[in-house]
Amino acid sequence: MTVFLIEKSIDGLYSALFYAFEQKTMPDAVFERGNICNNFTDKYIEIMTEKEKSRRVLTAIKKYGGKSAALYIEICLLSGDENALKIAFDFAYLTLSERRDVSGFLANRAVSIFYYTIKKVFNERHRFFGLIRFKETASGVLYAAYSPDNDITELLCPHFIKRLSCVPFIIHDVKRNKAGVSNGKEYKIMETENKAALNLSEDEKAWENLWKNYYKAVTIKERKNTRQQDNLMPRRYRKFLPETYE
Amino acid sequence: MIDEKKLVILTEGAKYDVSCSSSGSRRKNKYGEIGNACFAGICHSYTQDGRCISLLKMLMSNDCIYDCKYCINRATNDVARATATPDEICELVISFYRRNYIEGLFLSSAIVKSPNHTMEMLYLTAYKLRKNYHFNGYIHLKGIPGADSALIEAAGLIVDRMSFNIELPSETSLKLLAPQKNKTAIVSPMKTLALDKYYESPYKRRRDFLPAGQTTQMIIGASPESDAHILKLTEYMYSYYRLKRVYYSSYIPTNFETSLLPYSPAPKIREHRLYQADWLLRYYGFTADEITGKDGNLSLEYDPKCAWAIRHMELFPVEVNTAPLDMLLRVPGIGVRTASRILIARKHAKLDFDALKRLRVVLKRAMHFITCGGKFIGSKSEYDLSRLLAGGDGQNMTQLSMFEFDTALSALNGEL
Ligand code: SF4
Repeated sequence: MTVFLIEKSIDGLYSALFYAFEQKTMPDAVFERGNICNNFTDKYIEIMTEKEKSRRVLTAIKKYGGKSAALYIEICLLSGDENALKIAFDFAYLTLSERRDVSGFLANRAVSIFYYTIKKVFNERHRFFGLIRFKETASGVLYAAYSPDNDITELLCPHFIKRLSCVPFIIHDVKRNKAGVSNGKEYKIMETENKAALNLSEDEKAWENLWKNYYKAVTIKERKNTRQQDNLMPRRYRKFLPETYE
Repeated sequence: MIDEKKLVILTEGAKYDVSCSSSGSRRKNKYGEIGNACFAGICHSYTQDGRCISLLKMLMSNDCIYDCKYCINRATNDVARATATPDEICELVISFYRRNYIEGLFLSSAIVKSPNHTMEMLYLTAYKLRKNYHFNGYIHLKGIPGADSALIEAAGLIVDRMSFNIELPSETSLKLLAPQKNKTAIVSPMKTLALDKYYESPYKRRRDFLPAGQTTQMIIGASPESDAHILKLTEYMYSYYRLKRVYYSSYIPTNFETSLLPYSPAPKIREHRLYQADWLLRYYGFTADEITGKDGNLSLEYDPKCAWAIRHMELFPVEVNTAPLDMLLRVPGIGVRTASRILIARKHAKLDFDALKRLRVVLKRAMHFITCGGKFIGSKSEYDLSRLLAGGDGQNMTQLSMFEFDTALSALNGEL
């Protein structure tokens, strides 16, 4: 088995594509460097990131697949799927070798896997449009901690900037130790600890309490269907929701 | 801050209203104000009964002068009463919205003092929320039958969606169970909201009159109407009142007994089948007459699309590589999204069964109704079919119905 070891970034991925075309070598797997322990049966090829090569690949992707192909490949890299790099690689490779937009080849294995992988990322983003829970801090900044399957923080921030217009907020991915920090107009992604010390506003507890009571009251007890609840709101998300943590 | 007990009373009184959807509006944020609306709708949480919480769904008041037999808030029922002020409601909405608990407000009310007084207070609440609290999120306002049409039209200009509930599927049942309500009082404001002028410029261009349209709801299983009757009515309302959605709510006995009402709750599966049928009306090009069987009811065993297909085996199998969209949509196991994927994919390559799997066609059901490159792998015997489709192979009934109509779930969770 041939394994490409690359830097987990768009430049890393495109450098690997450049290499594949130049050396006429197709990988069976693509992993992030340093994330894998070598064994002796596989052949590992470590590929250095080179900006210039990456730029040339990007230009070709945009030329054949259009801007949206380039964008979707970036989205695919946000996926939490352990094979995300390979999935993105295969789609990009197909675009380059077919020299056209292949996004409609839904019956093709590589395209179909790619399609469902980014769909999952978008679905989780949509889910967290709803499941993010802010706490109001004493300084008026809203703070939310969460732990998504995919790296979606930068996909969430623009939504909340539009919505909360002018209110500063922090969305904290405690699994990846990173946070989207917004001043109400723009946001930045920053590295963080996995805990934050919060100084909550005076009323925060009371509003949270009202919400919990609302949640209880709106349930129709005669119609319990926790299986459906579990499907729609998986348990792993719940420790961040005031209405479901005790 | 609103009192906790008050909130609980007003929530308990509103929770049987099915709709919680926040979809259909693209209201924009204004700089420095709070909120916007997302066209697809957003669910914020799910209750233990599996329903989505998208909007803060509450009554302004449960202090009713009417006495509808099926309703927990009816005047003669002994329950705790509460009324919230417009400011209490506005402050609650803003505080919940900032924390991203909710997508907006669904405000309804019992009839306090008079229909006009009630509608005025509802309007005032929505008005304050927009003008004083600068809220641009989603507002769904319940319309009060019998209120002034000027009030109703004014409300239409500031909220996203309104609904007048038709309550029961026939006038006879309405007279019997909701004696103070009458059909005209419910239907005439629905007609007002559907007036042509609101769907032409300048309203249409500015999308400022009920951008998410109007909806309605009726109780299923409290009165004897058949599914055929209910679906006919639904079809009629979609075309004449420009409704966005018709909601069905299974009757649940409240804390009392009267010989006018059934003792036991209506089976949830019937409501589910009606929603599936409603999807067929809206997205699959079916008519109400096609959907119901000879006895006027939907099969509880299999979903309405399957039931229809089995009655029309002469039209199948169809070839997936060439069949037109309207025929693909009639194949059990192929939904709207799958059908559109098939259309895209078959432009580029001839589809085989493996390809169909990748397109997420539910082959287990679809295989009896399609050929793929001329190949047929299903069963043609009617006995086999009904057994397979009804889940004779060990699948339980509700599970089976869920996976073809994954979209029907959105009926419950408010995505559409
Ligand atoms: S009008 Fe009828 S349905 Fe509405 S709250 Fe009063 S009693 Fe209940």
